[in-house]
Amino acid sequence: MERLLNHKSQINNQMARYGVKFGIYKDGEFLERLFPFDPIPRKITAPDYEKLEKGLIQRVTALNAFLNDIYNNKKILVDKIIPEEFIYRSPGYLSACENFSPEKKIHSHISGIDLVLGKDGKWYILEDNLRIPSGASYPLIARSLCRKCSPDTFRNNEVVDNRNYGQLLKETFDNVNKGGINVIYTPGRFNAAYFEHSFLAEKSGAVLAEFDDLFVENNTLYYKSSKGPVRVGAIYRRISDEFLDPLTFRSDSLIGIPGIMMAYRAGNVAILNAPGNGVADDKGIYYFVPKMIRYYLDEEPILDNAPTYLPFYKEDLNYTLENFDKLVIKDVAEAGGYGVVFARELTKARKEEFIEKIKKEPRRFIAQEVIDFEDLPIVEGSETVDRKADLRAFVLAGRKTKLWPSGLTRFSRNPDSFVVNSSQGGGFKDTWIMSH
Amino acid sequence: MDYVSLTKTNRLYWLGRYCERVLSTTQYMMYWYDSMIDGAAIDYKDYCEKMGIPADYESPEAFIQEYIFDKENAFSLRHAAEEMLANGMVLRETISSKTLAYIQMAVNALELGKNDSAPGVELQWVVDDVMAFRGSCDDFIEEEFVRNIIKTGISIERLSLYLRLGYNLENVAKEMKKMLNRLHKSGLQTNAMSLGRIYLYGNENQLNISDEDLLKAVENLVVL
Repeated sequence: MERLLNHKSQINNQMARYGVKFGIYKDGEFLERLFPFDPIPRKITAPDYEKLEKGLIQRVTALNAFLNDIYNNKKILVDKIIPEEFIYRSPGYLSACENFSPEKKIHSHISGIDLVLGKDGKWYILEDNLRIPSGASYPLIARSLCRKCSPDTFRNNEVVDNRNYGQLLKETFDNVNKGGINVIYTPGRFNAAYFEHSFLAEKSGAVLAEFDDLFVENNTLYYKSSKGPVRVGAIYRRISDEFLDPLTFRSDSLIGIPGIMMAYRAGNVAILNAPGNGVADDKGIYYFVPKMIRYYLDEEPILDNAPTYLPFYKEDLNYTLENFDKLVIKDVAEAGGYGVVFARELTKARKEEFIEKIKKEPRRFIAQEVIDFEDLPIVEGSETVDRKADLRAFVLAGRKTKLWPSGLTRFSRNPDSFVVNSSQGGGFKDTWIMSH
Repeated sequence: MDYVSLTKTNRLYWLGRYCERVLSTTQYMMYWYDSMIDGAAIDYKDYCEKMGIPADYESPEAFIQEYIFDKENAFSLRHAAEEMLANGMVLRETISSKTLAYIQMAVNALELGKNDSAPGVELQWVVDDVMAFRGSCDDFIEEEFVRNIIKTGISIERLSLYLRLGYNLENVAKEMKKMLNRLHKSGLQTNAMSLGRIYLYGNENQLNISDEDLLKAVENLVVL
């Protein structure tokens, strides 16, 4: 490990060489920054990984079953496991996806599940990201650069190789491809995750396309090659549902592909991840995932949610109000670390205002116990300091559902903060899965 | 088989053009920077006029500093390097990360040179990185027509610079032959009138044409 630390500046030079960046919009201006990398990896032991693997595959399998059910038979609603309110009022629910099952009934092909390791030694799921989870490219490139800068580190530590992500992604594409090329569809150079889009296209052998490169004719999606139209069999779209097809969703979308939903519903192209997945990664629905596992798989959840309360239920509302100061409140409509409020940090006036909001719109919020999750060491100047860190694990549902043996460990650079998102100034680490 | 859309074709072409602009300008500026060490005067106003860019710099020293390093100056070398990178970034899966890295390094070198009292060292890196980028394109881009779109862009930019700066016409004719060969293999669409003029000039040396008209033919040759 010390060897890796000694090579910190070399590794950062390599990061700069390969332009490992992410973008943020600040005051309406697009800024591109190198993503701060910390060379001390998070290590996960083989037994711990085995449990994570089983638990995460179980979770994603249940979420896929839920998505297929909710857009078709709705048995889970009929059986009153989840109140209808949580489906039809969710902004992620799309009526345009009703009565349709995508190829092989896979809705979430690439899932990014956020977890933390509590100080009690247990992993807790914080969030499911089933729409367009970002981040795999960073540990992927970091690993290859660290190997280059400090080969001895990898000779002396038995770390499972993570450089197969491109292949896993290709298999995920190929499993649902309806005949044609694989495409990664990016909203363009000024998207926060553009580096990732282009890097994953290179690693998976997919064609990177922008809005002007694709068109739909006779319910079939084509890529405008300079040598003529080429049929697209599977598209990993990196734009939100609402912008995907101006003929179905937001008519003012300039970055969408007119008619793609018709091609999709005609079974002529696979869309990864399927439109409409937002209904399953809504923070309100999160509460119900353990119930989904029991309902669809008849199994007990292997991994726990963070203890969560839904003010929608009277009992939970009472608990939330009685224990307000020790809870973290999340707005279900927000993402990227926004809309997260630690109640203890609010002023008296803000607290009262917030409580009124919860009473008025209970469906809009969830309340969670603050998990005292682990700190990981990071290098700051010449010192090593402890900071809060989470883990985004990537589960790919191809012919088999697999957990990528790595993940994006994000850490807060602020000693007083639990928020680790890159958009909030956080950095990242590689995640090592040890082979024993 | 690499699938290249019309958007990508456009970018490949401009990647080639900016690549040559950065290389030639860097070499030109290194020469001038060296001359100025001994107090030689540089006629930057004449240069700006020939290039068709504003000459509103306070002094030759200010010209050198701003024209090379000022990212906000739309006519600067740094700006051209940023454009080269912007075009390259959106072609990562076509040109590969390792090829793209050379352009990124050229831009990084320009950033480092900005505050360096001896910027010639970093400028040399810019030249080295751009040359390495070209070599990497040759080695790692599988499709010949893709390589030739970039090379056509390089040749067109070089011809444009030659004609603007009044280079020896023999060199212009040689570069035209090279460019026509690359253009033929690139599959790029061309303007027939421009192509005819350039062909006659480059291959047959049969055309009496002013530099200005020849420059127009070069600039209008590729239809994107």
